[in-house]
Amino acid sequence: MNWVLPIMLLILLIPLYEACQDKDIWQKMLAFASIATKTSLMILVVSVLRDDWMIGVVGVIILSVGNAALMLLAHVIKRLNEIGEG
Amino acid sequence: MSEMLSEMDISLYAIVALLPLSAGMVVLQVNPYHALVIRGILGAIAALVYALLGAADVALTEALVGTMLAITLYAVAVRSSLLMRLGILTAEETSPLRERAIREQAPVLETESVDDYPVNASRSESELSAMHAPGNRPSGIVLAQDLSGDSESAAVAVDQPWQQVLVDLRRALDKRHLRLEVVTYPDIETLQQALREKEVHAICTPAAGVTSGENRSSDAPPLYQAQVRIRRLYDILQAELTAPWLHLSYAPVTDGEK
Repeated sequence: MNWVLPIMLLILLIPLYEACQDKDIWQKMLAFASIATKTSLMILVVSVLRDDWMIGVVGVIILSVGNAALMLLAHVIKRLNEIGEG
Repeated sequence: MSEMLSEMDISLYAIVALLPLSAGMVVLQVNPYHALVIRGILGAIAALVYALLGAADVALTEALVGTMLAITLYAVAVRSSLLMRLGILTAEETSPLRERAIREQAPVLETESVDDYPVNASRSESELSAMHAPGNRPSGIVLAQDLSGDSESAAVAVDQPWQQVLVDLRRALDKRHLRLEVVTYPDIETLQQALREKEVHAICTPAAGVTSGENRSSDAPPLYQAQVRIRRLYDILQAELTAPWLHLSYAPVTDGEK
């Protein structure tokens, strides 16, 4: 089952590249959402591979917290654009 | 477990290598908001690396504090600091002011304008520049021409440079990732008061005794004057704004004046 992690790493590089080159801030936010989910899933996979419950619980918490951070940041940026246009 | 770790060594090293990669991406960002988003990515990757290396508590702290709290606080801080507040008179106040000025000057000028300059909508450029020449320019002769013309087109001509000024300002500030917030004030006294009390960074008012819209030639006086109270902001705007219809001046406000 050790081939799972290198493949997940390669998949993680796709949104990383996208975040690197895009000029639009919402594209960067999409890449951030993608990376936050992918990394926490990688933590979960590792916890299953190692049979380590502590890392598993941390992975679940990080999965939910990453989405919360994304929502907060998106809200601030959205209000910023509204003021800029108005 | 150590056996499994040695098997996963290659991919582990590759994942740890992502950390300096994303840190370099944060450093290379120019726009502060983009840098914040990349900082979130860095936090996610750092949490992954910490969890893989066995430090579950550090990973949890990184995700909670490093990613969520730091980003939110920094977003609020950047949003409220990278901002230029420009004080102007309210739209209802500026245009009637100008129309009133036109109306007041019109009766005096009517006799002159009928004699010397037949009022004509399509005046040639040479005539216009002759009128703008300092010697033979009775004050406000062009304003009388505005009155006689279509009032609606005159209003548009008054408003359009203002829109252009705003567009120019936004473009100049966008290069520095600053935002422009326009604050309106009812009259000129409160506007000056706001600048003195540091509520706004700059104020913009219609310049006194100016011509409007299409009558403007290249050497005409500016339509608006802006007073900036911050030296750095003045330098930036002075370098970026080349349009002739806005005159910038630096007006430092000292605390002693309060």
